[in-house]
Amino acid sequence: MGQTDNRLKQLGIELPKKNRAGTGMVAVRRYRDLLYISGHGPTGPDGKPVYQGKLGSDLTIEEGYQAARLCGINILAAIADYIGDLDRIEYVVKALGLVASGPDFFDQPLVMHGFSDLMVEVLGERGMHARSAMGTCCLPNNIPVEVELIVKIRD
Amino acid sequence: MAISDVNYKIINSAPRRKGVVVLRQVDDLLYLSGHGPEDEITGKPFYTGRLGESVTLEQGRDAARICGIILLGALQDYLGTLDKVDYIVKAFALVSSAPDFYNQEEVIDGFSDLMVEVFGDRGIHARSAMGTSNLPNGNIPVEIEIIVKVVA
Repeated sequence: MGQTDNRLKQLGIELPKKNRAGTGMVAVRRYRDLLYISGHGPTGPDGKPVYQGKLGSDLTIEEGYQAARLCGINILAAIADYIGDLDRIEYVVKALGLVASGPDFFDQPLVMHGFSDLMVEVLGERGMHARSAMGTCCLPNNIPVEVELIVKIRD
Repeated sequence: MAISDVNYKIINSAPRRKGVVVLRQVDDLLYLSGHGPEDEITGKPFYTGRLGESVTLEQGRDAARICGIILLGALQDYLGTLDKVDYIVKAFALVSSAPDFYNQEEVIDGFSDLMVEVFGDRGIHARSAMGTSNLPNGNIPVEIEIIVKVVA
């Protein structure tokens, strides 16, 4: 069992199995040693959103944080599905976090810490990343957070 | 499937304002600017308005498809032939949406389906879709940017 798999076990995180359905879109597209990862939401193992609604009106920052964390778990699952061994992640490069927000909600970074904290928890220094966070009116399936990621891998 | 086999027109890309170019190349990656469903000569949008308000899902899908056609036009203009496209890497898709419209994915399938139609497996891509309140040019319903790998 790899080092990263061990760390996941220590943290009590189980990665969901990936659903490969879909036509033009895939979860991961590789370019040389970069993985471009599609936007992922806070879905459960059944593919349904665990959290729905907007920050500032429907959800608290703590719920948003947990939703962003769940996005991170789903992204790790997509990476594991694609490359097999998460030890092959050399480092995380860049995240973009979309946060569905009421018009007076401006704490998108606090929500996105749920994702970023997870990356460092699981990957240590390899998990540190550049990041942009933004608010928007609405996300697919009324999810509160969507995260996309670029990751550098090694063979 | 060659682009010529498919029955639609590729429009040439119109020049942009200074500072903004249609695309930027780094090694074998092309970064394309966001495009809306606009006439590339006049800049006039084929659709305006938000999904869930004045634009239907079907119109949104068509708008996304038109974005795809315009992006293909930009690629063909730059590369000379779409055969030089190795594969589509990543799309980022914006859908102007009413606050309770959540079917952005279905709208953007209009774009993703086209990429696979034209390129087969080479057209498969990573993708993020989001809703937003306002987009440029009178509130075009869809704007899509892509990253493309070209043949070395």
